[in-house]
Amino acid sequence: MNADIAMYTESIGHFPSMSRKSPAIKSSGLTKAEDTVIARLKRGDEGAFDELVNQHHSALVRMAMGYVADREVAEEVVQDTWMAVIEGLNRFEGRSSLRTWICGILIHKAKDRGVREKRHTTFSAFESYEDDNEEAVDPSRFQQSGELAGHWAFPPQPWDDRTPEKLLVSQQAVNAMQRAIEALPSTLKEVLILRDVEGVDAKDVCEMLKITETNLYVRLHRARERVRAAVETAIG
Amino acid sequence: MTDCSSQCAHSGLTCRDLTERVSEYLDDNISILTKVRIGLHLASCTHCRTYVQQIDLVSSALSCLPNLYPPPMNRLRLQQQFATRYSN
Ligand SMILES: [Zn+2]
Repeated sequence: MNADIAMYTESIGHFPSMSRKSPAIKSSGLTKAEDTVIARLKRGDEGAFDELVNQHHSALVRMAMGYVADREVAEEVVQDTWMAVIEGLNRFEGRSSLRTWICGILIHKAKDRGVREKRHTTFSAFESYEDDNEEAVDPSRFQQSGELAGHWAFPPQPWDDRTPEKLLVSQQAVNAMQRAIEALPSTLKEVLILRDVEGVDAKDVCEMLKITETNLYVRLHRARERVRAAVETAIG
Repeated sequence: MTDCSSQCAHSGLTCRDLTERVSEYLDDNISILTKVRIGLHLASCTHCRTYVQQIDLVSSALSCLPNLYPPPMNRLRLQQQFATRYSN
């Protein structure tokens, strides 16, 4: 084991099989925690409802902003979503997880609102994601020719802040991340928010957005790379 | 510049190829063969290790971005609606 690998093992902790399992949500049905929350909600427990709002509001607003123009309209769409959640809760049967259900309502309402405002077309015209062959990382960062073609020419420099907590202490990094997310087109934004911000299982994201897993990872990785590149520029 | 030219010949994967597969790799959503090839490449390429680590870090940090809360009037209306709908 060379020094680099040793250092790496220390900093991430799970090389060489450093894969990351999705959070403990079953791909269908409810977790035990969700079961409890739903029971409390159906009993009319106002504390449980407040907690639910606090837990999901951020992601819903961030996601809505992929479809509508500003924060104010996004808050309206999310407010409509919460009203629909209150209305539909009694009929919710738990075939999907609670948050999958809530996010589904949000996406439906946000798309609807976006189309009505004709914002959606503006956003789509802004950037098109039909071309799945476009690469995530700027191709000019790799060697273009010769024996080392395809290898890093301008490699990423290691960051000092190697844990999420430390990274988030840097206001510069947080601002860069927020701005990068805001600037994403809705097709990239929705996968990033659902998968990374909300922690929805990959299979559930595909189902909600009616996309294939291949699509999901192409979009997810482009979105993550844009955020990474933004942080790189801000703190690099 | 790069430290993996000999090793990459074995894994058959360039840095450019690898960067495209990182999110699937982190989710453990790839074939065992690709996983092995990526593992081989990472074992000898510092730059790609840095890249994978940064994507992992960004992805984890996204789940702890600062919270946004509804405007107080909106929250009040929701609480009222909830209470009306589910009061016994
Ligand atoms: Zn490499």
